[in-house]
Amino acid sequence: MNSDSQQRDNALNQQLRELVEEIKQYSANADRAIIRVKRRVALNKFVNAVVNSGRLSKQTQWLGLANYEDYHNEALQLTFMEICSKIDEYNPQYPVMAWVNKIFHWRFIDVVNKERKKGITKIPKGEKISPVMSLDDITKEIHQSNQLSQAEIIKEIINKDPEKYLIGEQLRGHPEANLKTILLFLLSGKKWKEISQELGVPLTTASSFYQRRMHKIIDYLKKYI
Amino acid sequence: MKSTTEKLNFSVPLSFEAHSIAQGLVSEISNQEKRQQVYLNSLSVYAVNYYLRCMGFETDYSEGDSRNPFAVQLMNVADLIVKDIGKLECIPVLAEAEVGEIPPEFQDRIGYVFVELSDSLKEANILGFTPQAADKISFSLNKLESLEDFLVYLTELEVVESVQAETTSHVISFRQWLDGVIDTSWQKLDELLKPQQLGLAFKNEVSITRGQKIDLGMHLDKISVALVMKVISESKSEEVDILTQLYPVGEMSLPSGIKLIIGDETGEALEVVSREDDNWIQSEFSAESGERFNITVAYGDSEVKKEFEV
Repeated sequence: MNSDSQQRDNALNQQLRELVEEIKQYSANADRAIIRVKRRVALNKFVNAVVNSGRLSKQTQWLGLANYEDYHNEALQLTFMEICSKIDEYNPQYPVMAWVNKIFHWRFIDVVNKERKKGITKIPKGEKISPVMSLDDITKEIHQSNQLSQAEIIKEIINKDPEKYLIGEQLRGHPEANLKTILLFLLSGKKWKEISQELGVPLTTASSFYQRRMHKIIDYLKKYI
Repeated sequence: MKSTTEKLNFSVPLSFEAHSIAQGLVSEISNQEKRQQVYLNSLSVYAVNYYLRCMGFETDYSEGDSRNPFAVQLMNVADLIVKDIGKLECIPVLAEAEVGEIPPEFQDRIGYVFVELSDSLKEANILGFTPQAADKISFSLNKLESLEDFLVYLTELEVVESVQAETTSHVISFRQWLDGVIDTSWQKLDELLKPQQLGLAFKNEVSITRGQKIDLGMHLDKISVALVMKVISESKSEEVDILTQLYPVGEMSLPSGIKLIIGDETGEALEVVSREDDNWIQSEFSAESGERFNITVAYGDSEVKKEFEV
């Protein structure tokens, strides 16, 4: 048993080392694009091989944390970024996974410390921490406040159009296809297909007319918020 | 353990940072559908940014419209700025989906990356990309180009920048161009522009057309344009006709106020300025062999000047 797993680890280490050698052979700053592409492809393969190795540490000392999986994922994410940027510094004296797991260990501690500090300052007493939402949570956890939502405030400004800018910006020959109408359609959840039908203008014409003025619209609305 | 020769993929663990950015953006949104759209877009942009950073690309993650709480309420946007290259649209799809939706208002991105999100939203998978929206709104995921192609595509766009930095101070000789000696920092147009921008081909003359990407402006006002030079040599003549054009890179139209200035040694200059929604601007002139002139592209406070010799 033991020697089997030893053999597997040796084979894994051999494979990872070959990938590291391949990456190092291509400079990140090479003039030729093909060299930089080869490095990136090898780097991508290397990260995948680490993920699929089955030898990433479970960091069991933190298993007791309430959101253990999220801490694990955050630390893992930092680890991958770090091994990608420091791959040229890897010392072949140590097995590749030992190097990766050591970085993983330190980043895990960083994440725990960071989240603890945040926990103290940000989370009101008694409130459950749920930093990572699932697809179902997004629509479930809408906090109901008595104030007008920002979306409602924006809608009000568009309706008032204080400088008559939005109503004045219109597609040539289609006065009804103006920014005010388009914005109100969009805010009511209409899709571009419906908007284009209602205004009688081609979809791409209407959408690119709108999109090109996006930054002006944002600056305009911001003045009145 | 999986073999490493199989198709390239990349998975991104999503946790505190990714979710707190997404939550910051939806905190003011109460419409359920909109909330979900903004949240998923945000995670998708986060994942692509992470992937590109791991692969050694520089990004302007916080500068995109997808990070702007106003912009996300007013459009279905998931853009990511890749430094000196352009904007990618990062389109989220849910697990097991077969098609992804390209928002019709963003037909002008340098590429569309599709990102699969698990139902738990704890993991993102970068699936692949397509360089062209091709007027399609829904896109079959099985037609996506691979991540390997994506790395090739972006890396090749990146090269223009580094070569350009070395050559901007040189005088560019058209005589050499017509002899077939062309600096690689001047690219063929199909490498530089989108197919729908390539309307200018005059095929039957002895001519050379090349273009170069130029970056202007700072931060938010930063834009990229393609300076296209067409040199037409009339046989047995010492004169060449030169057509210079300026195209937007990554957008369909130029911002207004971009100047294309042709100056000669006597200090005389031809100037063309872009108006709103111009798809390109151009200037045409002819010059004699040995004559020197310069071209300046200016926008706001920034300008790039290049010297040429016929």
